[in-house]
Amino acid sequence: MLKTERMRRVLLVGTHEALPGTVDHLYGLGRFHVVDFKDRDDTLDIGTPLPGSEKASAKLLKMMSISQNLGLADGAGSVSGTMPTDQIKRDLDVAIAHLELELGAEIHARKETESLLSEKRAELSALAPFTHIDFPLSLLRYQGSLSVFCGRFRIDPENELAKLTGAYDIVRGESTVLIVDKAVEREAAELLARCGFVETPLPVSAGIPIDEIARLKGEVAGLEKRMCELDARIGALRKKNDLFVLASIEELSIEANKAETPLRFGVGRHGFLIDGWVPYKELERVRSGLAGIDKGVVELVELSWCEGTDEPPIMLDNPKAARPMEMLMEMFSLPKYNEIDPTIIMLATFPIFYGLMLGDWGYGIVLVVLSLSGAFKKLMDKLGMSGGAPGLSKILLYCGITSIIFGLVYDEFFGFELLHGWGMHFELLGIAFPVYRGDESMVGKMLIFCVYIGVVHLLIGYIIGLYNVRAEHGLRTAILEKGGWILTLVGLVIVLVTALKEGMLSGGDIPLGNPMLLAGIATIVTGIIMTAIVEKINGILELPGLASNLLSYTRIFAIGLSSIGIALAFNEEMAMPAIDSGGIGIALGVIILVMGHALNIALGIIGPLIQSLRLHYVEFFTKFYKGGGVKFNPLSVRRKYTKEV
Amino acid sequence: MVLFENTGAIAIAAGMAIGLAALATAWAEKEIGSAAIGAMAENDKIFGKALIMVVIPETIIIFGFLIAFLLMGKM
Repeated sequence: MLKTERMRRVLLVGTHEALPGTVDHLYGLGRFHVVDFKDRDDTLDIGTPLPGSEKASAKLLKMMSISQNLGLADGAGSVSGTMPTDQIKRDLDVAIAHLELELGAEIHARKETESLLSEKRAELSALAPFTHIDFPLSLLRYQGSLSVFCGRFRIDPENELAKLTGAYDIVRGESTVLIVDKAVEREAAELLARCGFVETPLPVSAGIPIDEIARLKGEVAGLEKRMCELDARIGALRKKNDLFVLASIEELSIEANKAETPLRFGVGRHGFLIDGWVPYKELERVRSGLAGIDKGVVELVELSWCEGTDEPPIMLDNPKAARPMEMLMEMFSLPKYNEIDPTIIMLATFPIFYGLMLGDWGYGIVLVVLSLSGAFKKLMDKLGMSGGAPGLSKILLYCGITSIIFGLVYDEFFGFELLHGWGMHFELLGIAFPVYRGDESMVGKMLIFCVYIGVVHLLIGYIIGLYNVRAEHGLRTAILEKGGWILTLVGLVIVLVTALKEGMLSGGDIPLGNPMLLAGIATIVTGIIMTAIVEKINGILELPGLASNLLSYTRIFAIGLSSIGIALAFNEEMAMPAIDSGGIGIALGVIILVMGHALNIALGIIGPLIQSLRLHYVEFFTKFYKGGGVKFNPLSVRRKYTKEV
Repeated sequence: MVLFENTGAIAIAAGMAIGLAALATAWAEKEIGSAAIGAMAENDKIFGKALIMVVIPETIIIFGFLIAFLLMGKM
């Protein structure tokens, strides 16, 4: 929590015989992040793949081609179940031979049928423009004293042609056939070009087009039936072998990957060297596992790490409830090793901002239901973003809960004020609940409230910044830089509070002698001077940025207002008048309500999500966060279709 | 010559504040959005950062909204 997982840099040194055992152990543990070996010299070189790697790769290639032919490559979603690895290893060679033989014949037949089918279809479409011809097409190929033109015209050539020669014939149709005396062939061709002639190729068939078409249609139907049969047979093969094919691809990929891992190690004449990172708390497990390797000897050497050398990989370490938020950190950038990991803070602030924006307990319930029922996950899968779906679904659950809470505070249920109707209102700490944020009298108060939220959020940011800068540059720099900003922020708040009290924002005079105002300005100036010592002119230039950051938090209210606006427009302007008119209007009104609120929920999910994220990434993180950590990526095995025995 | 009644002028000013700010936001987001899509075509891992870049100009319309609101207070 707050700190990322502590890491230890280790070197594994061992004899050649121990290499396969070591690789197996590291993969099995899933807690070793390898640093690629780069310093090649006379004594150490990059390792070579383990024996058996080529065989595994070759089999993998064959299996992948089989899965491609079976149509499993991009539609394995329906396959479920697992297969023990020893069964795969036992049956693999026989199965590959069998599948290649059986499937090969079907695929070959299918390809032949397919090419024949496309040939026949091409012939059919070539014949289509000649259906008006009622004599065998072979006659048109007659090479004697006649010339034949087939094609389409823009202008009818007959009048011109008659002037040219008397020996001609025209058969009009979709593709007009023109027969002329060979003696005037050139002149006729020129004439046709002027008439916008576009040639239609003469079909290969020799018979009468209508008969030929009937014959070809019969052949095509036969071929299509054959295709269906072949597809069904391939489908049956797929159904019989799908799990085995996917499981063996998985097992073979794991094997090939493992066998190629030594390419990342250093290997000398007598032994090997593996450089990497291990989480501190897993160190003993790695060590004891290595001691248990039966062939050869491996030693684990712990190295000390000092800042400025290679950064350790980052593994976020948060309580289970905060883990979905880690996705938001990964989307931005992982923290550096010595930085504070703000995931746990986001667990609190992110849903609160979201709830403050959406603030409707009807929508909140919808969100919770969407998230708990897995409907949201399915939607994300459909959109092809299944990777982040489980995390995002959890985040939306939290956001749904805060939306319900703030929805009750605001008394909004799909835009209706239900609590008011039920007579539920009370006063707490001088604030009247429910708070109707859409009321004109509330708008100003809500905006100020949002700025105060911003102040608190930014203060947290600067305090974390204080810690981060201290860790990197020492206490003096930290206090001058972040402390200066904290003072500036506090000063701004004092000025803001005084200004509100004196009514300056609503056009009152500026009371220059007010001691609070002077104190506020003095605090701001002190803060700026402190920051300027470290950050030079940049510090002063960023002051307007701080003010705009604070104002930026008013979006919390503004986004909510737009959501209310849409809900009210559907409820009061469209649905209610329709329902009040009775009859068919009631049905219409209900449709409007459902469609309108569905639209508003869709907008309501996306809008607050992005805006809340932005408040964290842009306003909050810039106060303390550098990021740029490398993700902890251990050697590990992920099994979906196989079960290790 | 008085062109507008006082409140009318304020209402128009408020409308312009939010309308022009919205136009500016839209324009800025269009430029960033197309660049972001281009960048994502090369490397789709930057989706998160791209999304944030695209919504950065939304602050402009928030400011427009604030000004419009302050103006409305004077009506």
